[in-house]
Amino acid sequence: MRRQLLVACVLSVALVLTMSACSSGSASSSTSTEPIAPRGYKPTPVRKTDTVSLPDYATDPNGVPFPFKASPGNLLVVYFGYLTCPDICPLTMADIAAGLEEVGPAVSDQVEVAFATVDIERDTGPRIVDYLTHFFPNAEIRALRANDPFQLYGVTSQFGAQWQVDPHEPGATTYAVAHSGLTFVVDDKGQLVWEWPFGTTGPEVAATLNQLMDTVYPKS
Amino acid sequence: MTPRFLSRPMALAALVLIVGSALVATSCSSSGSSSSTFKSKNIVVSNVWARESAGAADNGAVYLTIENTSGTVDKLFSASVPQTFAKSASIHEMVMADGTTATTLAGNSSSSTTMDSGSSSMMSMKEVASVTIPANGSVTFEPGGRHIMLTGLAAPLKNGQKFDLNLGFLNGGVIKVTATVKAS
Repeated sequence: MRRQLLVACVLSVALVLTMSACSSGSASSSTSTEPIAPRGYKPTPVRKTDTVSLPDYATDPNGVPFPFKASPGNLLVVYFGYLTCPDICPLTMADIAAGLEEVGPAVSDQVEVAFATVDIERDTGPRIVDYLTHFFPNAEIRALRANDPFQLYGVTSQFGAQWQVDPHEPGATTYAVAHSGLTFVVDDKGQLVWEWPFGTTGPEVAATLNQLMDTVYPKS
Repeated sequence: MTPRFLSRPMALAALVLIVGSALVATSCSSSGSSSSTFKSKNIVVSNVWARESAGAADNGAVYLTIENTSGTVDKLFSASVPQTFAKSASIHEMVMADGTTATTLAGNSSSSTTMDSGSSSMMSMKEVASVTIPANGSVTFEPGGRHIMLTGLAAPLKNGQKFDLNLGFLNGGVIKVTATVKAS
């Protein structure tokens, strides 16, 4: 009698061990079902961005002035970065790309993506086009490069973005570049409607774009 | 050892059952982490990866996790790759313009923080001489924090590609690890 009890006990321990073996995967997957909220903020007061422009090399290989304004009914996503940036810029581009993937073509077809280099010495227009095409093969892109630092400063100060290129010898290929990690969203009136802080994830980008489409272009 | 009230064959059967199911348990749990690990006497390096190059970009960043299994603090003080692969490899961390170091800024924004303050402080990369790996602790190099920066890549990094790099530790010695390139 006692022996049978013990055997039953041993058997059940063995059974529990076997069951617990593969349960970890399913337990963790059920925790992340809460909806993702938009991240960032709407800048106030309203700032106009179509008063400034930069040469766009995606539209024309020689660069044509692009005023910061989305096409009618579209949103324009704007980032100020540089191509030799190994970490922050690719991470941000990948997160925006993931967001566009998530919202689906109904929304992503109405989103344009602009990358403006803050490293005009090393980055060329065609290389910015290659860079953007890698992350956004299906989006309308704007590959922006200022003709000189003064033109760039005029634009970034309008957006409220900062950048700094460390002093270096002419022709040097390794020098440090600092930049604010913000990503901006502009509407078809040439107004800044949103700012994402650095580290905004793909799902947060998607949630924000969906909300902006509803609030910036309400269906009457 | 054998309990008096349990016959020997019965005890053996019980033992086999327990050991057997424990084996099932371990084999199942290890299948979750398929990425390879690289070890020395006190250091375990895992999840070594780099992002695929965007266009012709000739810089790259390698991310990884370093675990120190000993009771003594260790330091990662060097990273190197073959000259034929990239001109240089160096240990970098992100710094904010105000001087604070961001070990990970990208980190999980857990609760619903819908309104971030409009901080526009600048981010930059800084090469560091070493990174301390705490005793019985670990350090993760991840996007938005630390990385091994590769400059002057001979060719753009392609999705699925693998490449070697050597990591030098104060106590752990030199460990050769293999990084896998991921799409994004």
